[in-house]
Amino acid sequence: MRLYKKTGNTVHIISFPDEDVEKGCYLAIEDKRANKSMLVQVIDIQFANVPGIMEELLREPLVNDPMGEDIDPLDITSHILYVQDARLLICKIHGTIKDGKLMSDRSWLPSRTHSAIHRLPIEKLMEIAGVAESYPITLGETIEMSPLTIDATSLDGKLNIITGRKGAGKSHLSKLLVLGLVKYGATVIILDLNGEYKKLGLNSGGERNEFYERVHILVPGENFKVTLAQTGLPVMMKMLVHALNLPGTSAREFRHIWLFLEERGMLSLREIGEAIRRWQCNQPVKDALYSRYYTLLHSSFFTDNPQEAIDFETLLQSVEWENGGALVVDLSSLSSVDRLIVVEYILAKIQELLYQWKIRAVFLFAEEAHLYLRETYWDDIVTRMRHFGIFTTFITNQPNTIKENIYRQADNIFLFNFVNEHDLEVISRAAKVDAETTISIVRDLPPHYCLVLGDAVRNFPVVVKVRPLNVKTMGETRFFFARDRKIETAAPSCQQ
Amino acid sequence: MEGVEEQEGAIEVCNGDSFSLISPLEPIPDDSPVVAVDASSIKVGETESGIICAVRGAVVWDERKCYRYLRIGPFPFHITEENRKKVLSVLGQSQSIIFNSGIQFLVEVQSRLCSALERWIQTAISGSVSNGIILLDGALSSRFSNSGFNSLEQILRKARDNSNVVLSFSKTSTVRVLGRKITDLITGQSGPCLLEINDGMLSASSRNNMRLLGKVYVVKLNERGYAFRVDVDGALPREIQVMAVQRLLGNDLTFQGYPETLRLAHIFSTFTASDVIGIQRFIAEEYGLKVVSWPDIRKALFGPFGTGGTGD
Repeated sequence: MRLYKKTGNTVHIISFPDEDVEKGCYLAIEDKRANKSMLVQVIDIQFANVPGIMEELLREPLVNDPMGEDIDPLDITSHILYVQDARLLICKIHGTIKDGKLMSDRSWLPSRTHSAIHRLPIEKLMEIAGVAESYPITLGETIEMSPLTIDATSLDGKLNIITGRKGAGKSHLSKLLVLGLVKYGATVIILDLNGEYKKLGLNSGGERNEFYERVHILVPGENFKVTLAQTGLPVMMKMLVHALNLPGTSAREFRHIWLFLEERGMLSLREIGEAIRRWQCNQPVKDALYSRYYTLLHSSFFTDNPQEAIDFETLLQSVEWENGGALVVDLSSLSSVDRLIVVEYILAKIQELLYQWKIRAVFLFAEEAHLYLRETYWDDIVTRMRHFGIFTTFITNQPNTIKENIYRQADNIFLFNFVNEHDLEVISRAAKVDAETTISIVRDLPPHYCLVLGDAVRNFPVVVKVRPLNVKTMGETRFFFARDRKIETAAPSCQQ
Repeated sequence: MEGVEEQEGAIEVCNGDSFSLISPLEPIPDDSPVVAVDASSIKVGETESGIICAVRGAVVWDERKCYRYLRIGPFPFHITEENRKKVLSVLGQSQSIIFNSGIQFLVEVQSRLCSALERWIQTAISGSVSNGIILLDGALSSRFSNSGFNSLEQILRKARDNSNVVLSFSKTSTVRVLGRKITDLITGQSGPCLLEINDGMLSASSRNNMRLLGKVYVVKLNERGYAFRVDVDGALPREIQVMAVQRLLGNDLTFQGYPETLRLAHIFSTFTASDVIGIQRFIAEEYGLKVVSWPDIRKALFGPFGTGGTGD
């Protein structure tokens, strides 16, 4: 490899066919005279602009004709072909290595003539970068087949985004992170939109795995019901105002009704319905209250029977005390309104518990959050809730549903393949790395390969093939013609 | 082939009665094999003591409507002031060159090397093909040699012995009649045709130091193609010569009036820029030479105005 040119933070390197270089790998441009190396990442591989290549290509179909023969006793043709296959590596500068230590200095220029360029294994780079492994979570293999392990602490107190097009392996990685966190005693709440996480406690064969006892499946309306007393007025008001859009006047009347019944120890769904009927207020307010009341009633999420209800607070605390676990809230069978109610309840409750220091911290995994998260929560999650101890991971296949400011403030971004220009443009806003790197690498990622950006990899973008997980798959798309087709390529989670 | 083409020299036609000799051409598709030979040379670089050049030859033939090729080379040579005589003597051309010094002479040796390879291939082909049409590049003329040995003559004889006819195409011709290029004389003709240039029409002065071994024709193989000077083996009867052109027309494709077989031979032998880089790489790796860019004095002195020849 030879250093060709440098423009801004982009370096062009000439590479020959026998040199093993891939998109995403790191190279060290070692200037022996300066006694330091420039660290660059290959973000694109192009053909070198070899003079006369057009003429060669025009002649090539004729040369490759089996009816032709070359008498080339000196084997010069192999040298000619070698030159024609020369490649131009487009690389981005990521820093400098001097005396085995990494520095952010990018201002110097290595010598063209005295520099030796060699591949820096990602494993070695992670070691130099000081990626700690106190709580290791192995994501998979790098393009060099070495394991890529991140530290669970790099997700602690952080905002993460997992995004990629459908079928790329987002949920798979998400499950891997969930189980990694649970392993180290973290409390993880998963807002499971498609019911994909329900079998986290089972391995691919359907047998119980080591996490079985620590995975709790909550199905709203079935094993996840709450009483009004457990809910409390502040949480109920949030649900009515934010999830059910109850107007201010009506909300005030509802508050009066609630307090009236609470004072008399009569707080129940049935009594609220009765109270609305008897309450002295104008008809539009009464209608508004009735419509919300019936929505709450029909959600089946609320119950007057304490035996039927689950104490969410106690559940969360017990999970934390019992060395962590995952609460999977199955939102798959809920209507959009019921989803809003349940999510509003969960988030409000978590905030309340965290604020009161009843629980330490919660890792929240939210799949397609735009379908159930109200507008004001996004900013809350990024700013306020983070300080309280809600560390969110958004998982989506529609990157434009996540606001730009969320991308900018994300600490870790796990990017799977996108080919759509609009999607690529959206994800390129990620502040952790330049747009060119993101777009160039992500565009060519095969399924189950992911570009990891952020704190987890000390801001060195790394491509990883997400490892298979021995967990029963639930996220597979249902097909009408499935019975007729033999699917030979199984999802990674069922490969073992 | 640059070297041979140069041998055409400036030939003048003495009078203008040639127009009566234009004959239409009828293709004769008799499955005669058509074989074309071409060679190229290129200067790969300069060393402290001389130049490094490379030569390559190509043979293309049409076999059952399918073109086949054989490429020979590239062969790199280091020509220096010290070894130039030896190189020429190996080529059997030591007497035929005036020993000037300097780079121009070395480039001339490069041209001789190319000619030698081309003649060697032509000799081999003329002896291995029978009842065929052999296409060469340039004119069928050569300088008078004191040794009495003439490779072109030997090639033509060998070809005749194998019932072949040698046709040599010149892409450019300086032969003129009444101030007009001979190739312009039949451009207005519709359909394939042939203009015969009689020996008497060629001035004696134009043949100075040159032996014309072929009969000169101007041939237009395609109505919409160009006209070319074609030299046909002069030792053959006129009917055979004309028939050979018609057999070529009937057995090969033409591109802009040029035989496809010969066009491919040229394409296969020519060096591209990436060929040169590959050869430089071979030399650097095999002989430890370091390739450095030589400063362009003209560019350095005159900047964007530094165009023009390499002469003093």
